[in-house]
Amino acid sequence: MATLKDIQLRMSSIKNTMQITKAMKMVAASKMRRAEEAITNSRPYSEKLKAIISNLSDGVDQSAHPLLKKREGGKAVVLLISTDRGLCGGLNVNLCKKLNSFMPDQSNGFDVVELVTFGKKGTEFFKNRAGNIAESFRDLKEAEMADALQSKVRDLIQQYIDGEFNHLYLAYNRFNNVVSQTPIIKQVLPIEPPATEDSDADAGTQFIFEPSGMAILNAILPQYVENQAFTGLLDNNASEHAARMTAMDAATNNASDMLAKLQIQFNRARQAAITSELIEIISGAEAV
Amino acid sequence: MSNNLTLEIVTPQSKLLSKEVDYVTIPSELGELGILPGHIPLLTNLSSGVLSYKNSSEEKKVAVHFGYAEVCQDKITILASTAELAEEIDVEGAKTDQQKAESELAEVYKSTDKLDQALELQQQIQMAVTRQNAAQ
Repeated sequence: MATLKDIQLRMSSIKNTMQITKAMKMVAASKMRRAEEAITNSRPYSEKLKAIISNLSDGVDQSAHPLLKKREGGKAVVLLISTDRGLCGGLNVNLCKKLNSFMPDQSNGFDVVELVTFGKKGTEFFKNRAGNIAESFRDLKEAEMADALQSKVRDLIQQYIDGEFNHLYLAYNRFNNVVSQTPIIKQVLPIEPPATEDSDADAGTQFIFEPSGMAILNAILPQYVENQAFTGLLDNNASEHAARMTAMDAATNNASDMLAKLQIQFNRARQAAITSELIEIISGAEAV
Repeated sequence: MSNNLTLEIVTPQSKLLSKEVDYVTIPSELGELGILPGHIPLLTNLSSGVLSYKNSSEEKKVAVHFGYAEVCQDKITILASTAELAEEIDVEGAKTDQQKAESELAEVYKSTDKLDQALELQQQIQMAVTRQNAAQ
């Protein structure tokens, strides 16, 4: 039987934890708003880029460009974008598990996988598992991370053109809305031209290319890859804050439920103590 | 054929502008291009330069740096790596950027093994010049 003092101690420790989770929730909420804004601002650009590429790739021979040409087997590189910090629910674990079952799957058309991880959590997950980590970036500020990602993607594109590996995948959490984020593994290289959206009136229009279709393709394809990685990072960032907000909200709720239960226990114990004291006094008085 | 063009400028960071206009000049890689309503579908690379547009109420300039322009059915979409409205440009900042890049470039030219850096610096100078031009 817990004494009054024990219950009180327990309650105060829960109160402390609740204050922390509440503050973390608030911080995550405001960070998420900013991250969400960044992602909604970046969507028009990536959608337009996609539309242009699908227009362009209709007009040119698919195997003409090294970034479009499919190569079988060989090595695959996966860019894993995870978070540096935990306490964001199952966000990283879900993504890593999905990737973990994706990597040994030979039916995807590659033999060996190499990982490039961004963020501490993904690195730690795969440190002791299959799939060797070629390089990892961690504990960077948001802007530094974006720069690191961009220069890494540029290097990877060059290596891909040189034939050092045959597939490039991007693994991240896609931000759907505040309560839902989906882990996604997306093939980035070779580029699969996005299907032209039928509603778009300009589908099938014959464009004039200046200076030439090939020249534009040369410039736009690497940029498309970079943009995908960049939006992946933004998506993951927004997902992180959203997931943390939900997790911390749940934690705060749990803490207040627990507090309510303990409060009842405390009141009962207090009353029991008073009752027993009264009985003692009364029976003492009767005895006299 | 309508009499209006829709101009849209988007960058990876934001959608900068979306407007009905009469006339647009875009800084393509091969030189300035003037676009009027009814233009044939066109896709082109952009260099760093001043984009200007005109409609009944105003005539404005925007600095755009590298990217693509798509003209299709009286709709012009500019996908720029970065872009700035003329009135938001920090001219002093652009001037100092230009000077800084120029002096760095002079340094780089002294040694022959830093060609990549030289290209990047040249781009920076071009961007700084563009920003100043647009702001005028």
